[in-house]
Amino acid sequence: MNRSVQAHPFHLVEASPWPLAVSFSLLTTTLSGVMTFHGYSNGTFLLTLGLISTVATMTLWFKDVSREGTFQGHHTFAVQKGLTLGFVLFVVSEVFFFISIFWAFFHSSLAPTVELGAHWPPAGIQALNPWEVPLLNTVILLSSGATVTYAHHSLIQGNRAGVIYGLIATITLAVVFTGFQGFEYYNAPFTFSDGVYGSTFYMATGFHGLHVIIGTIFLTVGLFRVLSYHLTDHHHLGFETAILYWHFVDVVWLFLFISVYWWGS
Amino acid sequence: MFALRRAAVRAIATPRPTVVRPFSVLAGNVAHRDADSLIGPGAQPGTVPTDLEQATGLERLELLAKLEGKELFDMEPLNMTHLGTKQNPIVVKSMDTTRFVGCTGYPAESHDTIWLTVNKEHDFDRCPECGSVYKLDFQGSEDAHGHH
Amino acid sequence: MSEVEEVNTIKLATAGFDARFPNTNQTKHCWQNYVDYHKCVNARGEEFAPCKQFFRAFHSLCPNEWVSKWDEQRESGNNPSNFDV
Repeated sequence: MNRSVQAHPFHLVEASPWPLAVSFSLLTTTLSGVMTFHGYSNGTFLLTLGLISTVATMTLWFKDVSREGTFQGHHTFAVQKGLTLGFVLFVVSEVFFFISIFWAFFHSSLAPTVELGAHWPPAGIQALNPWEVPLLNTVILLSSGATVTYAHHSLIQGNRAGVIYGLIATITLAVVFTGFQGFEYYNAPFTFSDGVYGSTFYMATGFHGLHVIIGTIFLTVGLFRVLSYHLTDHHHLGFETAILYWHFVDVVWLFLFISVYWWGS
Repeated sequence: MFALRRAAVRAIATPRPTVVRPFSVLAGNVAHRDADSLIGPGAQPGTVPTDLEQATGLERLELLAKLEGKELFDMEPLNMTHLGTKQNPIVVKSMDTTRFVGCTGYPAESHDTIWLTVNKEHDFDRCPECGSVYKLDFQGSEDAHGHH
Repeated sequence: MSEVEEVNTIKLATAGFDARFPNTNQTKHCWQNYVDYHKCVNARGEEFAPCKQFFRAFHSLCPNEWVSKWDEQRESGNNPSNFDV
């Protein structure tokens, strides 16, 4: 056998347009977001364009990564370690993002100003009862953490049915959570514009909800890859990263429930 | 529903070249039943593939080597056995005509890392801090940069 | 201390140190006395003498604009603070 093999286990990626394409999509999204907030014309059109192109370019990028790993075998053990570390650092950066939002919440709520009546929730704000929908949502997310763990263990044990049913259960719970949050948002007695309470509440829960939606998509991609036999019992980084992201989303919710919904009511 | 099928399938260990994975771009190549093929047999429908069934390319090579108890890639740091001299240099193997070496002296960690380029064309290369001599041992083939 | 009876001495004083508000920003100190005065008056009536201490404190500490703004809010029922004990 005369095979010339690269002498190192790392993956030197072929030239790809996707990083630049995703960057431009994100730039479009953020700038048009600002335009929309300040009422500039065409803001919403460009925002829609930006969001769609971000999703599209990210899809094409990840499709390439899947091909390189699953079909071309570039993801040696060293590459897997690198990808894992990279993703963990990304989650750490997301943690800091939420830290900043929680900081804002505590800054305003620990020492409420006299304009609010030196009270939290501020005078005139009717906070949501934490023991109704928010408690239910907590149970839903915790359960989804259990179902996704079941799916993961099934994958490792080679139980294809278990993975599929576990993932479907997880995704269903995630969608139900999002639905209940949407219902709460629709029926809430206060809006984003209702002073610092509204701002901190909707920034925190809104960005959390966005991350739930992203995590749901991540898990759904994992489901499709399981169905397509991409993942093996010991090599399934896309799935493990999705699970880590999902646990992160769950933990953020727990902090939200305790700080914003319960203590903040 | 799948459990029964799985139990029957576990007994079969021989590769089946007619198994085609969905969306696989390599579907056409599966017909080559080469003992050295870097394409695995793929999983049976209704099961979860194992690494041995499904790994391909470089990952498969790495896996097969591990199964033989060997490491495909040598990730060990350069072993500083002595302070290199012209008569007795530290030999640095390389698949390419140059290789980077981070010298920390002898014994190792004696000085801050100094990065050197050890070049095939040079008689020897020397660390400016401790004077250790390195020599490249070219292991690659003469055609430069075969692929991509 | 004057010995001539017709001369009136004017004693100048301001709100004393309140350990609840040790820092430079005395907003809450002003506000707390404003609220406490009105709570006191609501509970004990305007003639109740000890309420005067709160009155003096917030008149020393609070910017007049704030006091008039809060008074207007109280009149229109918009003051966010709670004046009931």
